[in-house]
Amino acid sequence: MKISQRALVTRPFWLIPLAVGLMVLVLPFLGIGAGILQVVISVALLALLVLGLNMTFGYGGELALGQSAIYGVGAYFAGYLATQKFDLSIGLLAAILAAAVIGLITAIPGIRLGAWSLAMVTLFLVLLFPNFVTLLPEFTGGQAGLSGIPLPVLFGVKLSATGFYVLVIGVTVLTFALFRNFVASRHGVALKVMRESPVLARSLGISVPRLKLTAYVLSALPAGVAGALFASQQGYLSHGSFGFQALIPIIAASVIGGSASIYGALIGAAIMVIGPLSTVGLQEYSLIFFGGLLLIAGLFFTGGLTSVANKFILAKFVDHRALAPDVEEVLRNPSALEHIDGKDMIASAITMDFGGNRALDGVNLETKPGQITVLIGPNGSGKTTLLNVISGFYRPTSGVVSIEGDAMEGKSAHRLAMAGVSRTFQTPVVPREMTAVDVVASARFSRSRTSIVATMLRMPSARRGQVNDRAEALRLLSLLGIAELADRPASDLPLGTRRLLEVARALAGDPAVVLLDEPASGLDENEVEALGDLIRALRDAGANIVIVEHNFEMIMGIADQVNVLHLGKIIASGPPSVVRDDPAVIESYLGKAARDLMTAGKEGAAS
Amino acid sequence: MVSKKLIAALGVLSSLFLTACTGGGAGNAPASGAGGTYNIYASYPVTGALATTAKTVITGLEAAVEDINTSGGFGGRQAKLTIVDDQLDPAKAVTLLQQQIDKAKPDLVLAGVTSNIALALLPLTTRNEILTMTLGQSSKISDPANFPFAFSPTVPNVQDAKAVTTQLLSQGIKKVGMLTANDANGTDTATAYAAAFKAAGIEVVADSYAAADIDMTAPLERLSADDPDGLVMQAFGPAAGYILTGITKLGLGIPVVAGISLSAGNNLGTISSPADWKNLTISAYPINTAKRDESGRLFKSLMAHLKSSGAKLTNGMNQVADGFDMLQIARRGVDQAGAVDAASVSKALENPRPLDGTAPYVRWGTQTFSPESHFLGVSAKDAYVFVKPGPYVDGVIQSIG
Amino acid sequence: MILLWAGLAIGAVYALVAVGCNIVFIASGVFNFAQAYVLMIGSFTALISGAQLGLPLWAAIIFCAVVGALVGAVEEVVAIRRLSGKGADNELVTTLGFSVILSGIAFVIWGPNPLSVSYFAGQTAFDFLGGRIEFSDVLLILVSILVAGATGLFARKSIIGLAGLATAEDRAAAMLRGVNVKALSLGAFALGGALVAAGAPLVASKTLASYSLGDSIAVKVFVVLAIGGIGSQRGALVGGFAVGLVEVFSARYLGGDWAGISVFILLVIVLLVRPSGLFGQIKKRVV
Repeated sequence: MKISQRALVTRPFWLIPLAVGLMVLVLPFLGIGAGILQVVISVALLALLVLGLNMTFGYGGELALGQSAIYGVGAYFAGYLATQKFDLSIGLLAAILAAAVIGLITAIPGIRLGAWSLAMVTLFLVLLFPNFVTLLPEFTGGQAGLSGIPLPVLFGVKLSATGFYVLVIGVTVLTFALFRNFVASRHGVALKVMRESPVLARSLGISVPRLKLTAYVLSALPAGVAGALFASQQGYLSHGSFGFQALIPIIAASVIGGSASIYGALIGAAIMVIGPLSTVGLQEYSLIFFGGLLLIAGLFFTGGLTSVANKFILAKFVDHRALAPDVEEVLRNPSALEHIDGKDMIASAITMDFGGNRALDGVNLETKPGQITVLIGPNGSGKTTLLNVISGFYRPTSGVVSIEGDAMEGKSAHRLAMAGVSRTFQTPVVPREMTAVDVVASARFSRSRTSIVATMLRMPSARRGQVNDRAEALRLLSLLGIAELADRPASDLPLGTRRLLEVARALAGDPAVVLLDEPASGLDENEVEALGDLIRALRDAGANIVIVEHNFEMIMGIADQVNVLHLGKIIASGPPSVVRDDPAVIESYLGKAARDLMTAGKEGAAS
Repeated sequence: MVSKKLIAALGVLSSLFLTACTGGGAGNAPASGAGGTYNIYASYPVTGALATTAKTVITGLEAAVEDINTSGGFGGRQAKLTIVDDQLDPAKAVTLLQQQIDKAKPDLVLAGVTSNIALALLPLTTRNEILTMTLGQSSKISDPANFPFAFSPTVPNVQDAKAVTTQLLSQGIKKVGMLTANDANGTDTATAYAAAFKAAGIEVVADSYAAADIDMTAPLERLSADDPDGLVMQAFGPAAGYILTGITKLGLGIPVVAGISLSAGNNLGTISSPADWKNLTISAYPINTAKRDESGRLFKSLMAHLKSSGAKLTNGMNQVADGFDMLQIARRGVDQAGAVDAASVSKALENPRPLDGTAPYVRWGTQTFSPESHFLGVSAKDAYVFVKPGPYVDGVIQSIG
Repeated sequence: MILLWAGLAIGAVYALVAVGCNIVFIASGVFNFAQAYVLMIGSFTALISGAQLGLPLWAAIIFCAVVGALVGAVEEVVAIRRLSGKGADNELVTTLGFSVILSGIAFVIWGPNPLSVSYFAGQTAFDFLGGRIEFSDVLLILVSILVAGATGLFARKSIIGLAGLATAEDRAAAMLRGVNVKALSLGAFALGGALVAAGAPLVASKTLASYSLGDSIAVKVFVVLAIGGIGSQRGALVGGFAVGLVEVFSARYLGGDWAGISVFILLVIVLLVRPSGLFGQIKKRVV
């Protein structure tokens, strides 16, 4: 029997991993030996480390490699406290706090630096870990290692081997549940958006530095916990357990299991713990075997084993044509266009210099709700630059953009997005591995906030937020006539549909101003016509729409106000009929525009 | 096509699970005592940087097992040796040993050649009351209060320091530059050296290097800036070669004394060339030199085993002897205690009866522990000799010049 | 002055490997983790050439280059070809896997003990511009400068080099323009391997041949590339020398424990000022 794609999410399939977790939890009561339990504990600890890496790397696209160092910090904190006869609960707490601090510290270069540099800095943190350990011999035992860590005592109770096992597995199951909830929420969606395009994230009102900070700190926590548990388990710590050599299995497990997944961390960890243990018998060939394992994993399991499993499940058990009940509902009763609360936008005396190059030279632009404003001009005339200034991606050299009278001076892109400036992109930016409805819902991140704690615990407020997001997104998709695609992977959709999706996304955040960057490029004639109708309808509903476009025919059909940019200045503006006849425009621009008109069909997305 | 390969790859992965779940590749020992066997579990880094050392020690263990089993075994029990590759990873070593304990508790655990493996395994063996022997030299191992069943049948670093001090004094060195590795053994040694040198009135300037350094110019230059009239080095692996090349390059021209770790773990002939040995004197175990006593029965037994097993010695004889003597010591403990349990044997090892007749060891005549120290009580004078450097041939230093 | 030479000589080793990495990166956009391990294989090839084959230095260099080219080519076929731009995550894992295999092979054949290479054995240092230096180190420094310069020029001036740059920028577009992407990638791996391995007789006379040689160098090369800017041969050279010098001088004046920390500080400073490295290219347009 096949089910709909949506049912994969709505039905309680999360019970399966939970049941597996509980089964693992009771292993010691089934007479399983301590040796196997030790292996299970090792898998659990590695899985916690990989989970953190998957958060930043897999979901956030940030290659923060500090995991093994954070693991070590957690271990040494908890280990030292244990030798001072502190309770394990104190040790765990200290390890978590220490991990959070390291997460914060790595976030600083992470926010400033690109992916590659971040990887370097965090990698170095790992390499220097032994140096830090040796600098503090009275706490860490220095090179000789920290020995004499007593058996764990939790809340005053001395834990038996079984008790400790139950603790480790319990903590692991809990952490995985919390993180699963996190990535399944809008926070997880925000991370994916950031991975795909930080620019898109900012344009949706997501503060990228803040999100990175959250991701780094959160991803450090399981590593700290794992470290504390490791210290109790081993009773002895040497820095060799946490350096570069410890990092390789973490990365490998992440990639093998699937970086952009939660349960992949468990699968990868199981392979990376059990694989090398079983190469023990191979003696001197173990290195070759381990290398071969990495090679095979990298070659054949793109996206990791979870991705392979996902594809299998999608192919065998999912009917792509089956629609979710709420989608069917919205198809039966298509939404009507509601009033859009557009706001005045004034850009005054905008000048923008790049080095010595003046891209915009004192541009004034005023747009109103219920009006379609079009920017035209030859390549390099400053159209997209102007859009970037209005949406806050460029800070103008001089001049002010204001929304409904509020000056947006010095505000960054995500602030402007929160103030209601929403936009589309020349080349549609649609994150991979997201359904159409999620893409649209992603624009609501900044509209209604849900706290991270509420999301992780799936509190009613978080669930309500999620239900509302989906309903609103479905409404918009229905409005654009593509509701039946709601639960399909967005990146599989054709270009025209992806453009519509972007428009829906731009509308999802209750926009004060909608900026459309060449929405018609790459569309065929029918699609252009439908798009034109849609834009007109939005205008009539009260939206303030600004379009940069090459398609002259479409412009003349829909524009209320046309502004012609030339070499960074507006040389003419007014209703289409007036601008068309403006001698300055004909002289400087229309000759080329006419050529554009003739070749518009062929130009495609290349412009 | 693709899916076929995929299935094959998945097959490889799943077979991994199976082998691991059935016991991680460790050998299957019969239950302790039942069949009259004495089970020895050896956790050694058979792969990795210390593989040669591990394998050489294992050769000695095998020779001892052969010798002991043909002469009455451990109190009548035949010794059975299980070797497990811990890959120098403490966590892995713990997991593997735990798996072994699940199946059958060993009578003796041999906990690696380094301190980190030993210190990781000791809590486990102590909890399970298993006699444990290691070649690790960290002072934390000899801790009868916390680890009553743990012994390191090695001569501790303080004796090495004493011997080097005597040598420095005999060469008339008043101010010495000391270069040690910044790893566990290196820092331990550095502490012992510095204390001994100062006690003898020798001025010390010290620096350290990392095992990964590929050029020693900087630390040597730093030391020579203080104008020492002698140099002491503690080195293992390629670093030893880099230091000697560096000394020649800098043209230091002062006497150099190498502590025991150089000759104990390396064949100078493969990591360095005679041009760099001009002013060098090295500390060596007597068994690695031409002065060794080759007349004893055990020595002959060991040599016979080496010959018949076809094992080739790339380094000194000492590592084979370490393995050999370690089991002979354990056996003597069992014999004296008349039991195999850890508590009785440990007690016997701490309070050894005087020898009657010839020494049952190949390294030194007496090898005993005390209730206070679980390191060997061999004096510095007996433990080491200082010789001119040279390559090893059949485990013996061929001094040049 | 002697420290300056020592720092430059270490830096030259890093620079040489970094240059090899860059060749591969420029032509195929792959970050080849295994480059340092090709040098390791090269060091054993030099050992064989000297100890067993008795080749003169020039012949050993050619022999090493051939072996290096082979190893590089095998890597391309085994670890890269099937991926053909599937994603950097996979390449990271497969090249890492290949590195581990190379270490494993060296371990099985030559064992864990470092072995000295006969070229330049027992050479004496001489005074040069106020510092003592060994002849092999002088050669090493010169070779790294020469190789970085020549390959940098080649990448920017020759048709093949430009085709490589185009592929790294946009694989599909380059294919459309008739660039034989496969041959280019294979060639780059072979060339990168050959150049790095050719330096092995010089490097190994300094570092000895050891199966763990790749481990000590690989990570440093990461740092060198980050500092110099990946893809820039000038950056590889400057970054290599900078890391070598900082290591040596901090070890000399601050103490051995500070070498790593000082390099880290250098890295952080460079990245904070120029996130894409000293000679790396910065993308200007955001949307």
